[in-house]
Amino acid sequence: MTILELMVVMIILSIALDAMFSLLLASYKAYWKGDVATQVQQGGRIALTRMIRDVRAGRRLVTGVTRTVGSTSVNFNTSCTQVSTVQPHLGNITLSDGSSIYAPDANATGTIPYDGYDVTYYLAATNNSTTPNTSGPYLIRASYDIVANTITVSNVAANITSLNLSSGGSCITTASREFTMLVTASQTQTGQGVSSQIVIKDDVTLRNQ
Amino acid sequence: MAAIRRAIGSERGTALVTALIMLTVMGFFLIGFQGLNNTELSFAGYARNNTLAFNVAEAGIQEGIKRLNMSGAVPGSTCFANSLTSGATCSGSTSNPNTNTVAFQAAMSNNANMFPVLSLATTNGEARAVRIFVQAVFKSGFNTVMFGPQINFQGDTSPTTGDTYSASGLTFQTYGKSPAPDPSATAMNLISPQVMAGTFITCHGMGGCPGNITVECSSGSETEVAPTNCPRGAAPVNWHPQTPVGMAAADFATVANWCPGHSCGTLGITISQATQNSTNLTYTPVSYTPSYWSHGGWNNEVLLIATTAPFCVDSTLQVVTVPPCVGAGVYYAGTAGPTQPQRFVDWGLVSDDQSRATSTLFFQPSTCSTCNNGSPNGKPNGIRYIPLIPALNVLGMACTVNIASPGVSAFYNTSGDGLTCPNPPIQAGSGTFTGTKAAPEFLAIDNGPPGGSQVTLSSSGSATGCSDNFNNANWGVIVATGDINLQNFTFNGYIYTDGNVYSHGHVLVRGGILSSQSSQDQIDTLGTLQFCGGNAVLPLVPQFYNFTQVSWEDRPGGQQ
Repeated sequence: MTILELMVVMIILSIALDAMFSLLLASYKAYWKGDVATQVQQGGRIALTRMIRDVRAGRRLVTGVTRTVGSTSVNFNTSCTQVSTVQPHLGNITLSDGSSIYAPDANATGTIPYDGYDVTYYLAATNNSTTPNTSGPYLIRASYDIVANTITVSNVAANITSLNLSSGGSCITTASREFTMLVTASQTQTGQGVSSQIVIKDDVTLRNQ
Repeated sequence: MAAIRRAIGSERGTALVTALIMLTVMGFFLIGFQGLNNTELSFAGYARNNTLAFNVAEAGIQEGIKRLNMSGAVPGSTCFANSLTSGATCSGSTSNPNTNTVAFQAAMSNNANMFPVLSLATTNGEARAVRIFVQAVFKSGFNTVMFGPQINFQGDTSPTTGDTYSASGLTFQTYGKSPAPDPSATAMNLISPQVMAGTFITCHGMGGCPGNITVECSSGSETEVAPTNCPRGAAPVNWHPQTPVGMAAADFATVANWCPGHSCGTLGITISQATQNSTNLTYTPVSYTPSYWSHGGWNNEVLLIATTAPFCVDSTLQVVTVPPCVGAGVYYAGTAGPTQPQRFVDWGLVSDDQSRATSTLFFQPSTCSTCNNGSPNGKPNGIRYIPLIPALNVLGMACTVNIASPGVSAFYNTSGDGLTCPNPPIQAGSGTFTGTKAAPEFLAIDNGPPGGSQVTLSSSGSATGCSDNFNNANWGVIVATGDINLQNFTFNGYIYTDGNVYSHGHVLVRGGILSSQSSQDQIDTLGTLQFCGGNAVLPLVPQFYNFTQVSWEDRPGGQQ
């Protein structure tokens, strides 16, 4: 092998390695891009699914209701960026054939109210916050159990940067029964230089009105 | 140089090995990336299948509502396979139904007219469920009662626990065998069985028969609106002669507003202030929005409207006229006439007929919490009203109405009019009723006009009494154009005829026996009659019920 041959091998190998590493880096970036896109999609999808599920089961929209238990206080409002519903009371109901089901207590009377829960969704700047922040990124679900007098606040997604709730081109009100939910999810992968954003939209109707 | 040559010579193939290593590493990355994509694809697939299953389950609910309004259902029994799926079969148990089926689950234990409908669906392994509650509400005029223009109890009706309504008069041939009031019944706390008539109740025979009773209560007053002890002291508290026929709120207001400036007396209509215990009844507050009537002199008064003749009310034009009714006019007091006794049409302020429970406010403060053992506003201490049942088009249903699947639709023609139907419904060859709880029967009988051909109905089912669960009795609906005769009949459901109803032998019925409003028609029982009331599960058919969805629930998969 001559020095010339060695040089040729080195050059060819350099070109090949450069190509391979370029491909590798592209794959690496694509991986992170895909990972971020997946997280954004999952976040947006979960956010929309959870909100739709609760709104579907809602009896009506409420606003201006403040529930306080201990040091936790949540405002149940309905606006462009927040939706608050009243959910039916759920009970273990005995049927005439002796079987029982866990379902909305459609025949509730007396001390058990037909209204069971206040549920609200809003964006917040910090984890499990009770203070709304319209640019997110946390989507918070807060619920108040009317019977048990307890409040539960939990994160639904951590990359929701915008929430737009509208009916007929205007922000939803307590009179709204069918409206459009538009969720924007965004995320940037620190150190990788990749980001992703999706916008998901769906219509929902209150079924228990 | 020689050393370099040796070194190079000994590293021959290194470039290839390096390239292969790099390719392998890159392959690992590609495999990982592909795996990530597959996972995402899998998630998307789950989400898609889950959404599809949910859509199928919702479609099943919609199909169930449509079927309910077309054919009715028996809660706790009726089930069908979702039409959007294939191969599904019902499990035989509505409390644990199969996927891709819709089950009308058993009614609530405290309300036989409210029941859940559960729709289950599975798409590629993803299961979803939707459940709704449906409230069945009697169409105005129908109820779980025995209703006839005239009713004559000749036999033993003492086992009866259901209510009896007569638009006109009601006669007990043997007082001692009339339905006894519940031991806890009082004049202000009415409990079934109740016997109510639009004009009079009379009785014969031994055992303290009070005779002909034409007034409701004390002092012989005809303006009393709630039962109180009659001066004779012998009338059972469950007897209520001169019970009003219900009017729509708008019609009641129209009569109240129109009569003061017109000659209502020539129409046989009189309006007076209602009383209780001979005390004029008033209602506070005086004014409402919208106002109940414009005639200011009657504000604050609880009114009672009576008539001796039929009349028409057009609440749109705000007029009361002599029949026949035209336009939007509504016909009232159809069974009365110039030769008939006075009939009470309605009483009270204007309250929708479907919410009579609010009548408690006439006599009790709205804040009372234990009024007459009821809560929060007490039990209705006004008398119940007798609705005029609407006429059903029996022949119109004969070939078109099917009862809930599985079920049987039958047509029985003895009139000779040549009317036949395609199969289904099947052509019944006799008056034997075969419907069961699992497969109820809708039987339409074409036997000509009332007073003509009489069809005798017998049954193959059995029940031992009103406390029986009726699971082994015959279930369904019977409608007829003419007279029917119930012979040793055990039945759970509704019997409706344009004509007369007779019974012989031992007849046990839970549900409704309804004879339409022709003043000549009667219900005449000769044998032992057990008409059962209470909170019973019945075939809920659209001919007698309206259905309202009262709740909706998206059930998690696997949690029924």
